[in-house]
Amino acid sequence: MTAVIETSALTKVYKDFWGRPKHKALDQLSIRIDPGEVFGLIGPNGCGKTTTFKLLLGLIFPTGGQATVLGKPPTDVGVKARLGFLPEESYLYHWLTADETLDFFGRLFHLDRATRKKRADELIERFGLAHARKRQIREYSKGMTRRVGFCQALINDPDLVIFDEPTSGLDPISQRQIKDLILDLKRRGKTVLLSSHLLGDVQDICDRIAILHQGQTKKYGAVRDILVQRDSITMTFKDLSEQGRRRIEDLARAEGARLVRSENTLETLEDVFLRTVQESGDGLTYRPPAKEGEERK
Amino acid sequence: MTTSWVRLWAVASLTLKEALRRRIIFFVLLLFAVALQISAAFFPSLNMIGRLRVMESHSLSITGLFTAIAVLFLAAFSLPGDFEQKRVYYLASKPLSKPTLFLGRLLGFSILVTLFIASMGLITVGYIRIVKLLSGDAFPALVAYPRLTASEFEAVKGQPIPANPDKLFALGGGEATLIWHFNGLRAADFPDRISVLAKIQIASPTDGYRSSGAVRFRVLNHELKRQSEKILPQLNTNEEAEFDISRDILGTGGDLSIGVSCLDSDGLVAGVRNSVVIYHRSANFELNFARGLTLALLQSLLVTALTLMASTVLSAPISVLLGITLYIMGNLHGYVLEGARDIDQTLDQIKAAQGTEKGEQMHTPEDLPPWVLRLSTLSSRAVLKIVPDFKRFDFSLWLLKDRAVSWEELGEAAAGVAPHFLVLTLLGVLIMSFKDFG
Ligand SMILES: Nc1ncnc2c1ncn2[C@@H]1O[C@H](COP(=O)(O)OP(=O)(O)OP(=O)(O)O)[C@@H](O)[C@H]1O
Ligand SMILES: [Mg+2]
Repeated sequence: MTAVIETSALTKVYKDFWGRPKHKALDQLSIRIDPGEVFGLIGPNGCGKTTTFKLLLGLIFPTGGQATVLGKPPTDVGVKARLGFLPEESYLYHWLTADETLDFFGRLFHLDRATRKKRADELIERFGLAHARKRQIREYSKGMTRRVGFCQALINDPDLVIFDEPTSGLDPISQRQIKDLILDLKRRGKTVLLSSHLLGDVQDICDRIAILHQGQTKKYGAVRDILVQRDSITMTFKDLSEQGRRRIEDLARAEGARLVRSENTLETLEDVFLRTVQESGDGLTYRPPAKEGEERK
Repeated sequence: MTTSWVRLWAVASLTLKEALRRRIIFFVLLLFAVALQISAAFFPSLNMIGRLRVMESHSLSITGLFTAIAVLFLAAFSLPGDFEQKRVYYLASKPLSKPTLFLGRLLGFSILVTLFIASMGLITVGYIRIVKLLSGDAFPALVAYPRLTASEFEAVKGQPIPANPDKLFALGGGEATLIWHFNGLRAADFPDRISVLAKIQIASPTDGYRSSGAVRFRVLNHELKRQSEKILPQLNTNEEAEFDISRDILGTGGDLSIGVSCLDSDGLVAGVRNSVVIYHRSANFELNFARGLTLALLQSLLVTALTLMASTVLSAPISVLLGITLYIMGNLHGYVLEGARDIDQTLDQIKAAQGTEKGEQMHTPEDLPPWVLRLSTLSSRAVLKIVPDFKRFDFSLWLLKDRAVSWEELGEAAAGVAPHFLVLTLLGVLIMSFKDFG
């Protein structure tokens, strides 16, 4: 299987105006991302995530090492036809409407008028912008602008999408929608590369991750393999009586295990938030997408 | 390099749409109309021809100024805006090559300049027409006389100037004459009186400071031996001498010769092929206006290309500054070149006088060491090599004298701009190809 993205010892040193090295933003990154994977790049601010994306898009040239995207060098214009990108900061053309923005980007892909219209309609509907599609983007809120950003990234139905901090600036419902979007893309066989500071989300949706620190790769592999604590086990029971719990604990102790923690399971704040908003029924309804194998109603 | 027309046009139309949305086109044209009609304030103190001239010169200067300023700023801020606001991240992640982004912007701004100048021309012509309508018969006719250069130029008993073989001279006092031949003229192309314009150089082989003299013009048709003569006793060098002759002199053959000789025995006349020209019947005023504005367009396109090219590496304010510098240098071209020539001459004199007694005391006029002057002429010549002479694009030189801009003149001006424009475009494409968008 050929990799969708492959880098070997990819290095970037930013230089100043006179060409003197200023900052080593990325140091010997070697990763491989296969088709259909969701890959997460995480790390503290300034660790080189955005730099990696810029290198993969051919926006900047590497100081050392190589990268291939969809089998071609990142500067290859043809590769871009199968790629979608959402930058971390979205400044679009303020004077265009959402419709015009998507039409403009669609034209860069040589999409014909009918296809441009169809794709734009679908995306605008999906990202809940239908009411604002004829308004200029300078009148949009931050989150709305962000959603136009998602629309433009998907206008060409790309095989590979790169999202730089996709959920930043979005409300919890939209964040959840984006998570579902990513899972949906995965289900359709697309490859996703993303960066995020919301580690919970990364853990939920990514198959594999790399953790960067000051440009260096600190961890790289499947999320499960990285997170699993082989000497520790968590079990979740429903309707377990106090007596039953004590008996299980005793049994474990008899087996030589040490009990570290035993408490009631907490719901996540996200689940409570979503349920609350849904119950209040103010139109901001959220419907989870159909699970795999399950019929969509 | 993958440049497709669809993508190029997408970027160009984005550029236009932006200018339209920001109401820039609207405001510039509104301001133009207001500024233009202020010329009416001068009307009370002017006669009718003066009014026409005021409108014409007023219109051309504001057209040049407004277009230059508007485009300068728009072009200078567009690409740096894309970079600083990180819109290039969107653009460069699409199948749009970096050079195409530059070329698309250039195309967009070129169309915008064309729109500006065309609309300003329309407003001007409309305004002049209205004033003419309101002024009645006293208002001069709107005319534009096309210029005709000689098909042949010779010196009878004269000779070429060694330094410039295209330029011929004839010594005064004798038979020596410079002759301009106009062949195959059709009487129908001319009004009753054919006007002749001459710009002759007058000098003396003995007196280096001589710059005027008595000159005789002889117009003849060899076939009919018809002849008319005109003597100007005190013509200055390079002064425009204008006179007219009867159309009858053409006869049926359509050949005409104009001979020029110097009447002073210590003087000489010199000229090139287009030193003497005659004028056709008036061409369409509006059509000529369009051709003339095309000259202004060429100049603005150059300023646009330079500014946009500069903005690929420099910040917007510096690009504006560069554009303005080009504008000023282009307009001062003649002066700077003359100055450089003067200094060179002085330096040559100093060199020649060196070693002699006189050379010991001789200094440059400003008492600067010669190498400073040498450096300054070298650098100003180098700059002038890059910057074309904007006089070539100054339509008022034609318009205010009721002269038509010929297709050849337009073509020459375009050919003069093309290399500059191409080099700037290529530079922009090259810079963009290797630019880090980080
Ligand atoms: N154009 C540039 N010139 C110089 N240094 C830069 C440039 N862009 C980024 N850097 C430096 O490179 C390092 C990595 O930056 P990068 O934007 O890749 O970080 P990041 O991981 O995306 O951070 P964040 O989580 O804040 O988005 C930082 O130290 C930054 O200062
Ligand atoms: Mg970042």
